[in-house]
Amino acid sequence: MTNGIYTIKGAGLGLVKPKLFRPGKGIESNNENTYIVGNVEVDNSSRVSLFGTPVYSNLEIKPFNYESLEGEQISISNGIIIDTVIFNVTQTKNIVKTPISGRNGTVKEYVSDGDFQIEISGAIVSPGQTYPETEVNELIEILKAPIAIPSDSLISEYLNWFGIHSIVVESYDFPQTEGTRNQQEFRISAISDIPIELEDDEF
Amino acid sequence: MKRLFSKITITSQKDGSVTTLNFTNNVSLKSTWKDFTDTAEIIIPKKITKGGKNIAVGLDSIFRRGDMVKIELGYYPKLETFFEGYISRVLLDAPITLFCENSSYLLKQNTVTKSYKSVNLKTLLSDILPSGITFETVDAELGQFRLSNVTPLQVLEELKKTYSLESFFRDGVLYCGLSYVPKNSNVFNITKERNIIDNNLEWKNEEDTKIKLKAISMKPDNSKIEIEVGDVGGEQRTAHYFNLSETELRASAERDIIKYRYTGFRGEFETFGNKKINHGDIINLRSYKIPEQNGAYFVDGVKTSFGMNGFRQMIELGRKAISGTDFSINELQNF
Repeated sequence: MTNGIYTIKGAGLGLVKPKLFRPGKGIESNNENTYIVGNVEVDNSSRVSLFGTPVYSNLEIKPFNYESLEGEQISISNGIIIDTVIFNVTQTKNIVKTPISGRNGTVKEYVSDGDFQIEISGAIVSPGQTYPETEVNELIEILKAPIAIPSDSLISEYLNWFGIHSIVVESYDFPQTEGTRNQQEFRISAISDIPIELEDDEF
Repeated sequence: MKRLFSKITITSQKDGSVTTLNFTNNVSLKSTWKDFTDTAEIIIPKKITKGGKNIAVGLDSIFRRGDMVKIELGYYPKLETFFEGYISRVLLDAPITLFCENSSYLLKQNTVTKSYKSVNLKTLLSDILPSGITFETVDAELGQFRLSNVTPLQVLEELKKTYSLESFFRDGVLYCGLSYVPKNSNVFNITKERNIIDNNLEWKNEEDTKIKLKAISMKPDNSKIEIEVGDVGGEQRTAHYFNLSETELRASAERDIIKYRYTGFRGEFETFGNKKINHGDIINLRSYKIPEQNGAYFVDGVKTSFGMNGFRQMIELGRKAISGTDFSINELQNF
C-alpha cells in the first residue's frame, strides 16, 4: 500500500463506514485537516480469523470433567476455541444504603464487591457452507455442566485482566440467523466465581 | 463510606490449629443479662477448601463442637471483639451455620453433687465452677442447699429462678446477682436524628406506668416472706432480698419500685456498629427535635447482625439510669 494524503474536512464523516486495515499499517495525523497512512504499532496476535485478520480476544474452554448426581463421570473431551466473540464485563458492589430520619443523604456501608456479570456474545463459524454441528454440540455440553467452568479450563485474556478465572453460566441463548448456514450465534450470561481456600491463620 | 471488616478466629479443640476467616455471609449475636448464655450464629459458605479438601464432607466438618471461637467485627480499619466462646453445634447445610455459646458452654460439661446445711453464694460458686473461671457476686446467704448430679449451669438457673440472682459472663468473668455492674458500664451518646435507624420506642409518663413489685425476702432457714407493693393489676416485677423483716422488706420494696416507675422510653432501637454496646452500658438518648425526651437508660440486651445487610445493633433499653447514684455521666462517648 502506498502512502497518500487525504483531505477529510467536509468528507461527510457521519456517513463514513469502518474500513479494514492490514496489520502494520494505519493512519496518523499530519496536521489539523490531513492524515497520512503510515506505519503504526500493532499488537501481535497468535491467531488469525478466516479473513486473515488478527484475533486478539478469543475464548478458549479446555476439556474438563465433572460428576453427575448419579455418580457418572461426564467428560467435556474436546473443548472449544471461539475466535468471533465479544465480552461485556460489569462489576457491581454490595453497598447497603440506609436513610435516617433527620439526616440528609444515606449512610453507606460497603460490604463487598459483587460478582462480575459477564455477557459473552459471539458466533461459531465453519469455513464451508456446512453447519458447525460438532462445535455447537460441544459448547452446549459445556454450558449444560452444573459446575463452575474451572479456572484451568477457561482461557480468556480479556477476562483475566479483571481477575476472572472461573465462571458460572446462568443462562444462554442460541438464535438462528436468517440466510446463513455456516454460523451459529450465541449469547452467554455468566457470573464470576472465586474458589475459597482456607489456610491456617489465613488472615 | 463505612467499610465492613471482620475476623473470625476458630481454634480447634482437637489439634490446636487456628483457622481465621476474614469473610462471612452473616454473623448474628445475642446478649442480654436476662438470658444466661450469649449466643452467636456464623453463616459461611460450604464450598470452602482447606489443604485441598472441602471443609465439610458428608456429616463431617473441620469445625467441631467445642472449638474456640473469637469474633471481631468493625468498620475498617477498627476491629472490636464482639464475642468469645465455643462452637456448640454445627449445621452442615449449604451454607454452613456455626452455633456458638460464650463461656457458659463450659458450665454444661461437668456435673456436681454437694450438700450444704447453710452456704453463701460465694462459697457455692467457688465450689461448683470449673477451675479458671473467675466470678464476682453479691453477698447473699442461701441457707440450706443441696445439689445432686447437676451442671453448674443448672445451679445458676436455680439461683435465678428461686433467688432472682441473674448471672452473665463479661470478658470471661462471671457476674452473679448483678444486672448492671457500674464499673463495666460505658456511656454512649445516641442522637435520635443521627444514629438511630429504626425504633419501636414508646414514651410513657410515670403516672401512666402501672407497676406491681413482688418483693421476696429469703431467710437463712430457706423460709420466705412475700409482699406486694405498687399498683394492683400493674405490670409485675419481682425483687429478691435476703434476711429482711417484713417492715424492712416493705421499705426496700417501696424504695426500689421507683426504679421501674419512671417517665421515659421503653422498647428497642437499631443503630450502626460503630462501637460495641454491651448490656449494662448506659445510653444517653438525645433528640434534636424533642430535647425534653432526653434521658439516660441502661441497656438490657443487644442483638447484633453483621453481613450482607450491613452492620447493625438492636439495643433493648432497660430502666432509666438515674445519674448521680451508682455512677456519674461525665465521660460521655460520642457514638
